[in-house]
Formats: sequence, structure tokens, C-alpha cells
Amino acid sequence: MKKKLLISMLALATVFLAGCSKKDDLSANIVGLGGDTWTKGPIDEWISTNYTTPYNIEVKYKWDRSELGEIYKNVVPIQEDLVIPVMSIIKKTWIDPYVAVKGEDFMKKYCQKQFYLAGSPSYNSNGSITLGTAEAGRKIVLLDLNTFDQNNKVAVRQILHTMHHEFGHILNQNIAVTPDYQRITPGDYTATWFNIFRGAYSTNAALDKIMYEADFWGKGFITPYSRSNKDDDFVETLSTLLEGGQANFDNIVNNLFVYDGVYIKRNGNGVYEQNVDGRSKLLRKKAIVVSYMKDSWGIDIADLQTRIQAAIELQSPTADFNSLLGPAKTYGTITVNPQKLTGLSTKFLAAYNTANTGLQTGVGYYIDNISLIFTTANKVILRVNFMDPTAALGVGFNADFNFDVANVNGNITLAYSNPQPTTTTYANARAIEAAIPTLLNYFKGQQFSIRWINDIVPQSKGIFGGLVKTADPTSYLFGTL
Amino acid sequence: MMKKHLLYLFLFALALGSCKKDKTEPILGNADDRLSETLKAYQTQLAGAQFGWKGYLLTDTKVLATFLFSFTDKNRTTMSADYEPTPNESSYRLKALQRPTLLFDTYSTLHLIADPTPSKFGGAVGGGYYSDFEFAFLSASADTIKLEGTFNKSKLVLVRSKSAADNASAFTAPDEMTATLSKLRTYFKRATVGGLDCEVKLDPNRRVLGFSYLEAGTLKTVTSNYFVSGSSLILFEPLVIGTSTITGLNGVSFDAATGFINASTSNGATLQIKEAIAPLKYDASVAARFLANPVYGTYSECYTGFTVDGVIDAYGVRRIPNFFSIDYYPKITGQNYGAVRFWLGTAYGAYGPAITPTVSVDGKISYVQDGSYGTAPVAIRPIITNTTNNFLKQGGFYVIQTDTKVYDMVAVADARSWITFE
Repeated sequence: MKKKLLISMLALATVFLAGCSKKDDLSANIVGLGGDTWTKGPIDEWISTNYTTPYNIEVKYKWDRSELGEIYKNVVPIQEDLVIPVMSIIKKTWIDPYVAVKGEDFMKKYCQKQFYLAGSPSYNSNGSITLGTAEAGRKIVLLDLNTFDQNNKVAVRQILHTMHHEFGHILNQNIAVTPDYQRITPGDYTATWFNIFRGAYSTNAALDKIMYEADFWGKGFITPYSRSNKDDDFVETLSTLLEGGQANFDNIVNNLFVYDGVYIKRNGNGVYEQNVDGRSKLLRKKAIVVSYMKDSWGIDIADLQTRIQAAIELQSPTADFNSLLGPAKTYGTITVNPQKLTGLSTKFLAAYNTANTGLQTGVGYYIDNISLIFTTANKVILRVNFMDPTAALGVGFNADFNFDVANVNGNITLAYSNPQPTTTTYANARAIEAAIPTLLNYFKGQQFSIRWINDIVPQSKGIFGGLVKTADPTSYLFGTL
Repeated sequence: MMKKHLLYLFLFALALGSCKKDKTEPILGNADDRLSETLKAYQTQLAGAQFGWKGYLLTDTKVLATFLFSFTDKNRTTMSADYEPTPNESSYRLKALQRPTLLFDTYSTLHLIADPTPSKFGGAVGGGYYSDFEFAFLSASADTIKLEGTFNKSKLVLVRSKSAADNASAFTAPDEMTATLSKLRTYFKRATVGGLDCEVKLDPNRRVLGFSYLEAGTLKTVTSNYFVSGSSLILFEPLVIGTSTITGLNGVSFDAATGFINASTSNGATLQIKEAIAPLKYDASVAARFLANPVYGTYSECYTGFTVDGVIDAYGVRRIPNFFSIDYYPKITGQNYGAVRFWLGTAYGAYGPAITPTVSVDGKISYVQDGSYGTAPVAIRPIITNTTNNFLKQGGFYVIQTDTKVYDMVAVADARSWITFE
């Protein structure tokens, strides 16, 4: 009986095993939905050579609506002739500097793996437009590229900012930054950061600008977006340092003051009250970013920054300052306010400060700032803006001094005009000239070279324009444009 | 014991049965294979046209554009358009989305009209003209491919070009058609379709063809945009009139002897469009409504003056320096009369008639002149005089409402002059 059972069990098991030995035909080709391949052209080859082969990055420039974050928007594809210029500049100013500092393998391991390029921006219902999005360190969508112009530095920087921002996220997700970072401004992160925009604060443009800047820079955030959360704050600081450069960052910090309406608060001698809190927060954040890059990744941020800035300058060169300054040109005025600048030459500062002291003791006024105005052909106006400390805070008075100049290849000699005009600003000049001889003599009859001063303040092209004495390169001044 | 055997037997049967292989094979073959073949066939068809394709686009906002496409088998396309005649090369590919879809996948002339940035080509911010560059195949015959935009639902019809000459005339054919259609002098036009007496609506500027006919005493109107291919006028949407369906008119020509437009419908039936001086069915209530509710509160505007015998602005009001509009006031506030004024951008010209309307029982407006706002300068005097005289025409005007706030005034006497207020 037992044997029978065993046999029948065995038989049953055999039938089970044998009966179910089905073989599926696994040799069929997977056809797919089609349309994912096309005849490769020069653009595809370029991408393959520069992105896909070396870094395993896919660059999609052909239309695929499903790659857009918001597929229900009217967006158009990119122009073919812009694909290589855009991707080339990204390679040279994002990938190459990192490779130079950290080597190929680093980028191969950590870079984003997919780009999607589109031609128009994505229009939002609130009237704003989206220029790019990124998904979790994997994919970057760049929009509005049909307006790409390699010579438009602002637009180029905008794209690079996105690149460095997103790559910053990847770095931070691999090795987290110290929590000390988020403790610097713990209470000011807000989900409604996008309400920080020009025009949101006042109908008075000057006041609006001050309040706008005070709402992020003043609170220790490098951009409005950095107020959204600690991670974006961190990568915004990193990307602003890399894409904007050192001079840009320092200039932001050096311009943080405490305001009373549209004017900076100051004491009776015209000394401004600094926004110490905002400055220190930004500087502490920068310090953490610098040490994070050094300690976690072994990257000297100054080195990386220098390489990136040099690459940007190489790809999108800035014309020399002399060719951009003058009547009906890009720049007309250089404004020199020593309280907002660092790095002015000792010789200029000595002349300026002596004049300021002289004006205070002699006439009872103080100098707020000076400017050099180049808006008239063959003339430079030195405008000394001075204040009466007993009067209410206001725009103050202007004293104008005319100089005749001839510009020879960017070198000008300032010959004091004779006679000077007699209108109000020149009458003001007569009233204070006796008290400020050192300042006037710094310019009178002197020869200067008009140029960018990026050798003096690194990465400052487009931010500061300067005048350097041809006879003495250690004597110079520069200002904002 | 027996029970146990039965159980084994049952298990045994189950074991055999459960392992029965399904032998069914898809008789049409692998669906993916078929899809891929379909796409390949479309691509071959597109690339195979010797002279390329004429493309007729109707955007979602009813903007029409004509294109010339040529496709290669290497995913490249060269196109020109009536709004951008210089040929430009870009890429295309066929992809199966919800349906087999033709994607113009890099920026081209076709994308201009869809560009959401108005500074590129106009249209709405964030939408352009609501056009497409992803088109699903609706139907395809050897010579005609009908496509529909997958995003904005615009329509694109591709017609295989017959010759280089066919291509050369693609952008001018609509103007020639407009010239032919404009030879009918009257506002009202009639045709007989499938035994039904129809009023024909022709708007060559917006390329709209429509028919109105009476069904059990009610006026029914069907309209569609059309495109012009040679001497054919092809509708984007078929028009159903009673039991007949019209998809287009072929061989459209004007017969000077009879004054008719001759054409044939797609099924070969001849169609004659004739002049008529009265509407098929007139809504007598419109005239009073038009006078009582001017479009801008107290007045309505006209931008092109009178159309006479098919000639728009026959008297040349647009030649008046700084002319913006003719403003018609049915009644000047505080006065017994109305007026026709000529708005010159910043002020009214010191001329133009004061006219008073009367509405007859059967809903026609006629005018008498009550005076004038001054004598027009000599240079433009004929324009003002002709316009004034037309308003004063014997028999007055029919008022036809063509849209919520658009009214046409048509001369009752001969229907050969009319003016649009909006």
C-alpha cells in the first residue's frame, strides 16, 4: 500500500515537472514604439564626441514633450544651429574647469546624465517664465535657448548658474554640508521666496530696489531663491561664487548698509552704518562653502573660480573698458564711493580722505562720493557729491569740475578747463574747491589709462571700471558703472 | 480508499490540464512590428514625393498658413511658408505616441507660428497662434495626408505636389481664388445643393465657406475654413447640407457670360454660385437691435468703408490721412439725429453727414440726411460724398448679424454695396 502510494506520488511529480517545462521564445526583437532613432547628423556626432562618449551624458535637442516638466505648456524646440554653441559653452565653463581641478573620473562619476534643450521659455500663469528646471541631479531642462547669444554675458551666466546650481546639489547629496550652514539663517527660509522680485515693494523705484535687496542680501542670502530652503541656499551660494566670481560676491557684501528710507544711515561725518548682520551671515556661508569644497572634495574653490571665470571670459569676451566708455556708449559714469569699495589705491585714498577732512573742517560739509562723467565728447566732469550734516538726509550737493581730455588709445590727460562754466554745480565747485586741493590735484594735469582693473581686483570686469596713472601704476581709482 | 484514488485522479487531471499550452498566435502579427511598419510606410510616402508636399495649416485660432515641404529619408525636411518664403532645413521624425505621429522636432518655419513668445511672430503671450508641430495621422491616401495637432488640435493637410509649377503657385493660388470669388458682385449668393436652395457665405479673407438653408422653416448654417490648391477649394471640415456632403469645390471658375461661379463638388455634381439681391431668410429684428445697441455704447466702428461689387473700401476711406475708423452714431445724445463720423486717431474730421434712421416694418433701415459736420477738404471730398450717398441709398439696408457684435448693412436695392460695423 505504501509502495503504491509512493509510486503514484512519483508518477504525479514526474507529470508535474515534465508537463510544465514550457519554453518561451525569447529571441523576438523588441521593436519599441519607433521614432527614437534617426539618421545621425553632425550635431549628433558632436554631442557623442563631447558629451556621451566621455561623460555618458545624453543631450536631447530633438523635441520630446514628455521631457518637459510641464507638458501642458506651449513650448517650441531649439534651433539646430544653437545646439552646439550652447552645449559647447556649458562644457567649457562647467565640465572643463572641474576636470582641470579634479580630473575626468570625478566628472564621469558625478555629473548630471541628461540634458533636454528647448527653444522658448515656459510661460506661467502668474506672468513669469521658467528658464530651466532640474530633476534630482539626473536631468537638466534648459529653456528659452533660441534667444541664446554667446555675446550676451548675462544670459550666458544665467545658464551657467543653473548648471553649477544643479551640480552643487549632486555634490551636496553625496557628501552633506555641515548643519552649521543652515544654522546661520535658520528663521528666514520661506516657501514664498518667489514673492521677492523687483516691483513688489514700492512704486518708488529706488526704494523698491533697496527693499528688494534688503529682503535677501540684507538677510544673508545670496539670491531670492536661496531663501527657499537650506539646500538651495547652499548651492545658490556655491553657484553664485563660481558663476559670478569673487569680485561680484565681495561687491554684494560691501554694499550692505542700514537704510533710512532711500538713504544710508550715517553719522555726522558721513560714515555709513553697515549692515553687520547681513555681511557676517553671507561671509560665514561663504566660509562654510569654501571649507566644504576643500575638506569634502579636495577642491580649492579659488582655483575653480579662477578657471571658470577665465573660461567665461574666453567664451564671451568683454570688450576693453575704454571702448565701452563715453558719450552714447555702454558706460558713461564711474562712481567712486570709498565706503562701498575695497582695494582703492592708498595714494588715491590719501588724496580723497585729506580732501574730505579739509571740507569738514573748512566748510563743515563732508564728501559722500565722487564720480567721473564721460558723457560729453573730449570732456570729463569730476563731480564731487557733498552733504551738509546739519540738514536732513538727502541727495546733497554736486560740485562739478570740468577737464578737457583727448583720448589716445585709452590714455587721457586731464587738463583743467579754463574758464569753468558758471551754473549752479560749478558755483558749488567754487565754494568748496579751496578745501579739497588734494583731490583736485590728484586729477589736474595727470595722465591716466582707462581700463578694466581685473589685475587689481580679480574677476571684476563689467563690475568696476578704473583709471590708473600711467606714470605710477600703484596710483589708481575705480568705481561702479 | 476509493476516495483517495479519486483524489489522485483529480489531481492528475488537474496537473495535465494546468499545463495546457496556449497555442493562439496573433494572426495579424506582432503589434509593435505592425506599428513600426506603418511608421516606415508613412516615412517612405513622405520622402517619396518627387516634388514634395503642399501643406495647409489651420491653427486652433483659425489662422491659415500654406507651406511647401520636402522630406528626405534621412529625417530632414526643408520647408517654406507663405509667411516665410525662404526655404529652411530642419529635422523631422515619425514616432508612435498615442497614434502614429509626425514630429517636426527642431525649430523651423512651422514653429514660428506656434512660438509662445509674441516678439517672434505675434499671437498670444505663452501661446502664439496655438499651432502645433506634433501631428497625428488621421488618414492617408496616396496624395493626401490629413493630420491633427496633438497639442493644440490644429489641422494640417498635406497634398502631394504634382509638379514644380504646382509648387510655384502654392502661395499665390489663394489670392487667385479670392479674385475669382470676388467677381460675384452681390453680398448675397445662392447655390442649389442636393435640391436645396442655399445661401452661400464666402469670406475669402478669412478663407471661410458656408451654406445656409431652410430646414422646416428654420435657417441652418454650416461653415468651414478652406484651403486653396490650384483651382480647388478644399474644406477642413466637410459641410453637411440636408442629405448632401460637401468636402470641397473643384475647378472653381467665373463665367463672365452668365455671371456665375462654376464648380463641381467632390462627387462630381456641378455647383453654380449665383448673385442674389435678397437673403434667403431675413431676421427683421436685427435692424432695431443694431440701432439700439451700438457696439461701443453710443457708436459702432467700421475700418474698411463700403464694399462695392466685391471691392473692399471701394471709396477709399483708408486713404484719408490718419484714418482709423468710420464711427456710426445711430443717435447723437441730446439730438434727434444720428451721424457718420470719421475718426482720425486723435479727433473727428470736421465733415461727415448727420443722418437719421427709420426702420421699416420688415426690418430695413433707411436714412435721411439732416445736415453735416462741415465740408470735407477737396482732396478727400469724393470719398466723403460717395460714402454719404451710399448711406442715403433708396430702399435702405438689410442688417445682417454675422457675430455677437458684428453687423453688416447691405443695400436693399441691389445688394452690391455693404458695410460692416463692429
